[in-house]
Amino acid sequence: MGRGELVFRGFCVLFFAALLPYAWQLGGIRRFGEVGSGFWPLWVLAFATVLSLFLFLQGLWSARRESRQKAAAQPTSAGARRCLGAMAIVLAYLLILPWAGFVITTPAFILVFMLELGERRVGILSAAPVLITVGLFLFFIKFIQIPLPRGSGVFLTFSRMLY
Amino acid sequence: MLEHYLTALMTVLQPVNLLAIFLGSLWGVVAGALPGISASMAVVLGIPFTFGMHPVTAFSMLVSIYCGAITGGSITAILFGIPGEPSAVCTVVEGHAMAKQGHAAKAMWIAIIASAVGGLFSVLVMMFATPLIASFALAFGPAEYFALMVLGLSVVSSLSGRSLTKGFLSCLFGLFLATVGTDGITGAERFTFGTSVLLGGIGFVTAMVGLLAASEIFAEAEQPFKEKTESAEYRGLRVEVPRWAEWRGHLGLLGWSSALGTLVGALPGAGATIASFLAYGEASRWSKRPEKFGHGAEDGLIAAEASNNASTGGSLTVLLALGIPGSNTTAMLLGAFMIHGLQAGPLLLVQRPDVVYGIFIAALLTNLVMVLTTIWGVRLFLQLNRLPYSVFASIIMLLCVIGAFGINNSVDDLYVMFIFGVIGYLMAKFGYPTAPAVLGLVLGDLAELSFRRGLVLSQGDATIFFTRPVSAVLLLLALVALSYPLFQKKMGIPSEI
Repeated sequence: MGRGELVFRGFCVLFFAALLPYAWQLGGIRRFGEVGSGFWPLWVLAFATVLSLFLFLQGLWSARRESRQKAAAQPTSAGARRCLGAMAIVLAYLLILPWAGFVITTPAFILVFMLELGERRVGILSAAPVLITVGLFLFFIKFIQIPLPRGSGVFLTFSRMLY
Repeated sequence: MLEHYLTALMTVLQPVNLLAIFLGSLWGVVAGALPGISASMAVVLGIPFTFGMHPVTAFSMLVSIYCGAITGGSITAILFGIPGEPSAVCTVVEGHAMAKQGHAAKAMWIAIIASAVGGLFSVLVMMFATPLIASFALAFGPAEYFALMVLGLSVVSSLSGRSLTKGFLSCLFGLFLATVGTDGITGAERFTFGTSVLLGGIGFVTAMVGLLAASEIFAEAEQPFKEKTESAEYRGLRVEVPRWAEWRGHLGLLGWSSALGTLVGALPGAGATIASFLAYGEASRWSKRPEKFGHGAEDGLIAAEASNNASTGGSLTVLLALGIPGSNTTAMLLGAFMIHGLQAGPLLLVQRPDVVYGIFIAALLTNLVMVLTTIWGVRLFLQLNRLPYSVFASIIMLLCVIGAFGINNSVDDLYVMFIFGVIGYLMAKFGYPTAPAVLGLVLGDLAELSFRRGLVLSQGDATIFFTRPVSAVLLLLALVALSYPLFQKKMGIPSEI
């Protein structure tokens, strides 16, 4: 078992256990003759804490066993770096989107995202961002009329020229 | 009832609905063929297109995407030896073997016809069974509903992964997420931490877009850059048009594979993959030529394709009659019902028969149209396959963004979608099945309300769940479902626990 999985299992224990006191407090909120707002989440979180603790301890045990047996080294982290990069690009896009608007940010996002995924062909890198943005713009903004973010300030002025 | 069918037929035959069925089916076939796009993801990506559509048009499209995606999985399975859908694994074994022997067109025809027959059979069962089950379910009280939810969640938790503990934990995570927001009985805020964003709860369509679609893109990003995959030799479907005489001997196999697929599809958590494995296994057991299995056996291909497509009708029956989604895909359809202001379940048949009967007719037409769309879908897919994955990934991610944003026109939903994308990626990476979490989130609210209402009715006596006959039987079945993995080792199925 990798260290990442063990950390994930540990995080699950902390997550569910940390919410237990909050669920306990909710137990006081109830109507006459009713179990109250806290009853269900308390049981759900209690079970989840026990199960996640079981999985964490099981993980610890197997990690110890594996280290004794000198398990093979973990596979290369290039894939994990690429995945983290993709996540960071999507998050950056979602953060910039409300400020700069859909029309401006989307082609830039597509270009950077494709580069991160390993695309290096100039033709595809130059055509895809424009074509995809235009296609999505025409279908979702003009045809279905979803008011995708327009941005603010100068970006808002620009977006308003288009929709 | 006949009146409802005639009205639905007239509605569905309107050009806009026929176009929705055609395009939905074509997209479903192509999406199902593309590795990395599952049936649930195909439906997720189809939802933004249905914003603003009439419910009959919207569900004609979504149901045809669902059916098309299950069939589409066979294209890559036969031509490339890669299952486009998990349910197409058996198709890879027999279909790709036939393709390598130079019979790609014959294998494609078998897959297309078996899928259409399986789909049509299950739709006919759905048309007959849905009103019956729904009228029975109208008499259900909170105890029966709670037991039904427990059964659904138990089956999904125990069947959707190799570890019962992880499946159950995933389900509890979903149930916890469903408690976030305002309590439906006391009006208390739960786990909102003072933010107004969480007051209305976690929108499960937004969460599912993240869990099922965005997470898949993150997982694919981890893989090395892909060049296009070479296919088996394929010179079009005209090369080997099937003859009636070839099919006569397979009619019995087609029939029982379709029946098995429909039945398995109706079980929560089972679905197309288990249906195809079971039917394939039975076909090999009863075949007169078992030695051909694994080397291009037509019987194996027929059984796998008829049953996996038949499962769609089974799961739609349970969704429409009881409001219980048995899989990620039907959970997405349940979400789509909510987006269109409808609640799937027994009351839907009473309140909106136009929609339910419209879905029946649309599903029937889809399975007929699908023969045509699959033939075109193969050509379209082979063209699209020339495009690099990075283009698809960008489009899918943007459709996730538009889909999450379009539900409430809220930027906050985009962050929720992203967070669930990361959670879904981590869950998949570490072997936690996402289906129980999705179903826990979808059913959690109703399960809790039914549980609390049941206790109020019985004045706090919890035995109400065990003393009412239907509820007791359902809970017993849930117990059987939960104990199933404990017998897995004995049955030769690998398990982590």
